[in-house]
Amino acid sequence: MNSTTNNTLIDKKLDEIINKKKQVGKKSFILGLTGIVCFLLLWQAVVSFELVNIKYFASPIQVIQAIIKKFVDESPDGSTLMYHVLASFQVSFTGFFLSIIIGAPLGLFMGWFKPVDKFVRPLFEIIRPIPPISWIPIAIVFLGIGVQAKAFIIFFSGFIPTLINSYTGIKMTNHVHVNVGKTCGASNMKIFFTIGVPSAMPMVFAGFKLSLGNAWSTLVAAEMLAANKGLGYMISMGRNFSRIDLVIAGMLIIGALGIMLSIIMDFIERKTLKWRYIK
Amino acid sequence: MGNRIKLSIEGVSHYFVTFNKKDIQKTHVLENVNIDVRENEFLVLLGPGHCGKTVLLNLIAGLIKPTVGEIKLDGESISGTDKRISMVFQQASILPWKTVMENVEIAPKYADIKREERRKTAQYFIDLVGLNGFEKHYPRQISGGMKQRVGIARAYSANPEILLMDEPFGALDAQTRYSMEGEILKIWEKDKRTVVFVTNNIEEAVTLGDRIILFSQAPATVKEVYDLCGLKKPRDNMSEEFLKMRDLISSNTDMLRE
Amino acid sequence: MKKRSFIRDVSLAVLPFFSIAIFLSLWLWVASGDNAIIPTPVDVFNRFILFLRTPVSKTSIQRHVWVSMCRVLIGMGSAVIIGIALGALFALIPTFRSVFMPLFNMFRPIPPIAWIPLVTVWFGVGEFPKIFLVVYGCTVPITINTFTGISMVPDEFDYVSKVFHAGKWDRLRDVVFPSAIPAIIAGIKAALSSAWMILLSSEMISAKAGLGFLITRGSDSNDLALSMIAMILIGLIGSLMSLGLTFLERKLCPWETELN
Repeated sequence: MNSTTNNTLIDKKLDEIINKKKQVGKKSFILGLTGIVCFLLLWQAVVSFELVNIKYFASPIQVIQAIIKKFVDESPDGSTLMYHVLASFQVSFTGFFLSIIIGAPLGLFMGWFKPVDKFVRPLFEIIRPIPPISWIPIAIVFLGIGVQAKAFIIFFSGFIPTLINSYTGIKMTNHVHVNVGKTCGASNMKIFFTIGVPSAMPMVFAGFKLSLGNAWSTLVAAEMLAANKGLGYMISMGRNFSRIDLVIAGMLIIGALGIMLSIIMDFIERKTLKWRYIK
Repeated sequence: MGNRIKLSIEGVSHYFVTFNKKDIQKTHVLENVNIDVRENEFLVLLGPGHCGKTVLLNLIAGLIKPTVGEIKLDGESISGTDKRISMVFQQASILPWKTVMENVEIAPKYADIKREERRKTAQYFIDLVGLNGFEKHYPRQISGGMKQRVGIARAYSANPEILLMDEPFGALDAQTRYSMEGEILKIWEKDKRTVVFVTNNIEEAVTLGDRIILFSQAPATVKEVYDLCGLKKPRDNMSEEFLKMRDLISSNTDMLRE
Repeated sequence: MKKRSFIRDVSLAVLPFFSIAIFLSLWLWVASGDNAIIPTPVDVFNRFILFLRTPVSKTSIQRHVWVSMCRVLIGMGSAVIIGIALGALFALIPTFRSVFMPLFNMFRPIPPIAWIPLVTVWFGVGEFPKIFLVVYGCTVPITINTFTGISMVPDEFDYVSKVFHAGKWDRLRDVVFPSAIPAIIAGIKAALSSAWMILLSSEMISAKAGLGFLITRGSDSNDLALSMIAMILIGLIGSLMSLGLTFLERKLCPWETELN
């Protein structure tokens, strides 16, 4: 096939291309790093040299100190950092799991069985445009200020994306596959479980991810409005006590935990959906 | 055919390098391709699907640079796209948000030719491909075959010296395909330019080509060059000579081994 | 056979009304009686009529609606401009992207609502902080979608622009942006629901007028009917805006239906 001289020439050319790409990658990485470092330095400088009113600001160093201290410090809001984090997790997971346990099956059934669709749809379309947060007063009236009310609101916000995605996912079931099932004599219910549901899984998972994102950000709002613990509450209290370092610390922790959760979701998705393909 | 050489492909081999999550994959697509394209000939590049013919066309068009080798137009190396080379794409690829006329006049428009003049050119080719009356239509309002005709008119409007055609009739149904083959021959007779036509269909190749270059499977190399100048055009695809040529080529192809 | 399918069609058509009827009766059932904790539909309607006449917190109902809508529209409008510009910069200028995208991704996971305390410390309880939050929250999805839309121009169109020698601006105007419009509009749709969420939260937490304020006010003064009116109004306006966007999308990219 190739003569050896030709081979080395080609390899040389290809290595050139590969190296070029690597250079570009490195350059891009360094630029990004510089950007972040400059930002942090600027931020620190703004506070250190008092370029703004330091009552309204906290430097990166102060924020880090606040986080470290908060692991054991109970002031000013009455609990340590881990306590808040666990409280937030507790509420958000309760709401999130409820929303996917109810939302996914409901969406799947709605997408497959017309009667279910016709029955649930009008209610859903009425409820949908009303942002979950606005249900807080009603939730408080029924469930009081506590974990249940917050979990309910979070359930609400997570429920919608999962339901919509499950519905869309199962509507996209390949008709050819369904017909194969029918010619094999399977009942509608059986086709639903063996063909419809599995093929909708990717969309359902996408819905889960959206729901998790929604749940996590709604959590913050719920905790600011009706809570006495949790990260949202910590930020709120931080503001009331003029502890801006705690406020920013809380914001960063919320963001970081959010990323962590979505990475975990991606991991779970890869593991569960991979199974189906190997099958 | 004693025409001079318009385009020469010299020692072209091509590899694709893909970066896949820390993994570097090298795909060998073309191997030592040497082709001379003569002026005003209808050259057909024939080969099994996914063997690399489209890549070769993209290399000629200047969209990608060959890993090794050179492509020369009128004796000079070309680098990047050249105004003398125009292309008809596999999926028509006409812009969905522009009318037929706007699509066809796109090349002269970018060459800063005045409206009146370029409209005249575009109209000439719209008529030539038989789309008279559809100038103001949008792509979503016309059929697949018509879209492909827009693509052809567009390529011609660029006033190229070489026309590249990448399996333009591949996505069409059989009937439309036959009629388009006839049409392209008619257009070529009326307005003779150098054409390099890619296909994976033997009958199409024998119907259209002055010369057929047969490629192997990937990585594609030139297997054989067939000269069909003996057969007069338009060709009867039931005639003895046609069928003989077709069988000759078919026995040589890698196609069945896909 | 014909009779069966007729019954089936009728019962299917009736189901939606049936479910709404059940919903309303449930509502009535929970809300009736002397120890009711929530108002009945009738109560809500009466409160609405009352509200039309008498202002709440010295502001008429129209003004509350207007205030909220203005905040959303100004916020969204600004976010659309900033988001598209930012997304385009990210997509078209590699150096810009290398430097600023990591920073953008650092800010991204922080929910806009988490910014409320900080923003109120900086800017107080006026119009600006609320609009600022809406702008911030909406810019993110619009930027991301614009970036994806522009960088994912299909190869075929890219080749067309190259073979026919489109100049830089020609290419942007004729190929890149039109093919990115569907993605951009999807980003705006996502931003719209975000906008209402953010505005509502900030109005509920600290405001003197607006629909979110009404919700909290109703809750605080044991006037749940007021909260419900606000909720219903928000739902209506939100749906209208979303419909408006769908209509706009159809006008801007009539070719999308074909590509799909």
